[in-house]
Amino acid sequence: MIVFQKVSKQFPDGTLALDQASFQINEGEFVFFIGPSGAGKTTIMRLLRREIMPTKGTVLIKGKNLKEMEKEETPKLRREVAMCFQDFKLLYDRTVYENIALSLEIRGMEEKKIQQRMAEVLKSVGLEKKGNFFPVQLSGGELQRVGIARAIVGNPGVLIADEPTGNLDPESAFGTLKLFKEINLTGTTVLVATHNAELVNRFKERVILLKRGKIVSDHKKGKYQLKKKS
Amino acid sequence: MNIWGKTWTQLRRSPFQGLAAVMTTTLTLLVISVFTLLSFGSIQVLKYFEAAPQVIAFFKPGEDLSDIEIANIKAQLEKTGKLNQFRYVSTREAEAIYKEKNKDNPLLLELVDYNILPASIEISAVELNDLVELKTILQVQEGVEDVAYYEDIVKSLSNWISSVKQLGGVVIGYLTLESVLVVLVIIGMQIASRREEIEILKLLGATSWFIRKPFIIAGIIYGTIGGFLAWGLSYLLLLYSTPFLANWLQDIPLLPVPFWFMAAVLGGELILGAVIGVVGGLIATRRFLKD
Repeated sequence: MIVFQKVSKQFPDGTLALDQASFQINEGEFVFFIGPSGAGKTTIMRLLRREIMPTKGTVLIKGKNLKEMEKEETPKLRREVAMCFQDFKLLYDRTVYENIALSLEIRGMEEKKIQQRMAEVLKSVGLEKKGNFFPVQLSGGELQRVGIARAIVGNPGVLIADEPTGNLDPESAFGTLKLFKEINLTGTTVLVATHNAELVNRFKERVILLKRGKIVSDHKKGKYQLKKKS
Repeated sequence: MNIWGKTWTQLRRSPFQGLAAVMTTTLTLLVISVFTLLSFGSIQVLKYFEAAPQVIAFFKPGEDLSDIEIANIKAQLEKTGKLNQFRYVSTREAEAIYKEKNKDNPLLLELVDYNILPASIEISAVELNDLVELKTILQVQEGVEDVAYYEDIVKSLSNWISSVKQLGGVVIGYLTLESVLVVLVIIGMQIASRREEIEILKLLGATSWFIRKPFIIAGIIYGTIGGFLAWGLSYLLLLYSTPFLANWLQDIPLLPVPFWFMAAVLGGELILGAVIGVVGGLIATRRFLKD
């Protein structure tokens, strides 16, 4: 379970990125965070992975207060709360296989087990024939699938994605979110930050709307309806 | 990719930086090798001179001392508590030694017999500083014509060894520090060139040690290769100079240098090389890989 209790984040330049945000996400939920640029979506994602610390309030993951966590526990947290990035953050001198396997290597998994798990994951993201390709040989949608595969290969409890469709065409973007839904159906909690409200509207999931660092509304599963522009 | 694969990739990516690190470490360890060999040789030479009689008292040619006279002189020397070795060489024994030394020269053998050779007493002291007192006792004995005294040679050698050790310590300390700094800077450069990859590893949840390990192993590899090359070069240098040294050292049993000693030098060089690599790698990763 993820809990935000009156969390605020102010950066050294004075920008208030998040203002008294409170919400709770249960295990296995699929939640979209939507809002315009600067709404605080990325700040929430970064707080969840302890890339930044809240100025005020409490962030709890499985009952553990991230502020009180030891620095040495951060890598473990980041393996449990895996992330997909808008810019994919892939290593361009390594193959698809090597990029994804990196996530298992840092967990200290044996080579044989890595091979077994890799075969499963490459198949689940539809890249089983592209394991030996280098990132420059792939399309944007495929690159994002590599990023997703790398995030889920270690079976994290939570998968978060920050603008995962930002660099993709509409078809690839829809395919990516469908993949997230499939991952969610296996029991993984999925949090997606996006400004693409239209795309979110096609999935009937919980939606938290942010504006200028504040939570404006929290729509339960199936209750979000995109307002049509007049 | 396992840790060795990762390290190999890293070494391959920056061959010239690696070469610079290996060359610097080689130079440092070569100097250490040379000083080690020099110290070992000097100590062996000193031991040779220390084991040899340090004072020899020669008596009148052709005249031997009686057993009572010998026992009397020995008792006087032993009374000081500073005597290490005592040996009486009779005129007959002196003749035998002379014949052995000049067995290849019949002319010299014909000219000399025990009647013109002196009997002698050879002694060595427990401490070099005690030689003067023992020498004084021998000088005043009846029939002593001459006293040969080797204190100066041994003292000079002791001073030489001490200087070699002091100079070696300073030079080795300076070069070791320089090597650590070169490894540090080179690994720092490698870290800088892989900043993006390191950032991704951190985001994926890699531990600090997982990120640092390949850099530290690279440092160890640079150091041990340097150690091995330095050892090989110093061995070649030693083999090359053996004929000249053997001629110069004559009776001093120093060459060839025993294999166990060279094996120990190799072990020491590899360990020191690895230590240089580890220290350089650890400082670099601590300095440039802040959490």
